[in-house]
Amino acid sequence: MSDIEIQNNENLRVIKTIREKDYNRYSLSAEDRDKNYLITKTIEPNEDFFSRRMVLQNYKTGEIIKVTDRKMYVQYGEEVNYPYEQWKELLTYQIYQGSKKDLYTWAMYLVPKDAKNGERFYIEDIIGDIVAERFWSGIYRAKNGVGIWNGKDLEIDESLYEETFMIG
Amino acid sequence: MLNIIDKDIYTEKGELIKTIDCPKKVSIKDLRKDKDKSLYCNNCEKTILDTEYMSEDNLIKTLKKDKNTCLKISRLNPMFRFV
Repeated sequence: MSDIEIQNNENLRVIKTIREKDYNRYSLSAEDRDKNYLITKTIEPNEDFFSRRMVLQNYKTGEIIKVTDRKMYVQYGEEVNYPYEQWKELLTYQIYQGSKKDLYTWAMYLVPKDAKNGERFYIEDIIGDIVAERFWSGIYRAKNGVGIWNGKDLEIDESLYEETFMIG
Repeated sequence: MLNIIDKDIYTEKGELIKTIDCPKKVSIKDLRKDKDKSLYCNNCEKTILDTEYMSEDNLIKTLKKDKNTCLKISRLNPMFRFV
C-alpha cells in the first residue's frame, strides 16, 4: 500500500530524517551535530493502523475466504455479505497497515538550531505512522508533510492530508 | 471512469455532470459518518454522498437528477481520473 505524499508547496526549510537502518558513525558530520537539534524517536505501532480481518468457511461448499467483515464494500459500490447462517467464522485477527519494516527501530530529525517557535518545516520522511487517509479497507500513512516546531519537537500539521479529499 | 478537471466532473463522453464547489469550505472534520456509511454535513445540515461506496452508474444517475448533490471524493478512488 503506497504512502500519501504532499509537496513542499510552501517552500519551507527541509528537515532531514536519519533512520536506524541507514545510520552509521559517518551519518552525522560535526557540523550536523553542532547546528541541529537531534530529535530522536523510537518507532512503535500506532493503534489507528490496526484493522480486523476474518477467515470464514462456507458451510455448504467448504470454501475458505479472507474478508474484512461479514459485510464488505467492494469496488464500484457493491456490497458483499457473508451471513452467519452460510459462513462459519474460523478466525478473527488484526493486521497492521502501517510501516511494519520500521517498527521497533529508531530515527531522528535534524532540526536547525535557529528554528523559531511556530516555524513550519517540510519533512521528507515522517518518523512513525500517521494516518493520512482511509479508503475502503485500507489505511494510508503519510510519507511526508509539514512539522511545526514547538521548541522541543515537530508537531505534524495533519490538516494538510485533508487535501486528499474533495468535498462539495 | 469519470474525469475530474480542476473542480469539474465529466463523464467519459465529456459531459459535465458536476462542479465541486463548497462555499463553506467544509473539511472532513465537519462531516459526521453515520452507521449506513453516509456522511452528514454539520454546516449545511444535509447528507453528503460518499463516493467511496457508490458505483459510477449510480453516481451519474444521482448527479443528473440533482447537480447540487454534495459529494466527498477521495483521490484514491479508481472511479475518478484526476486530469
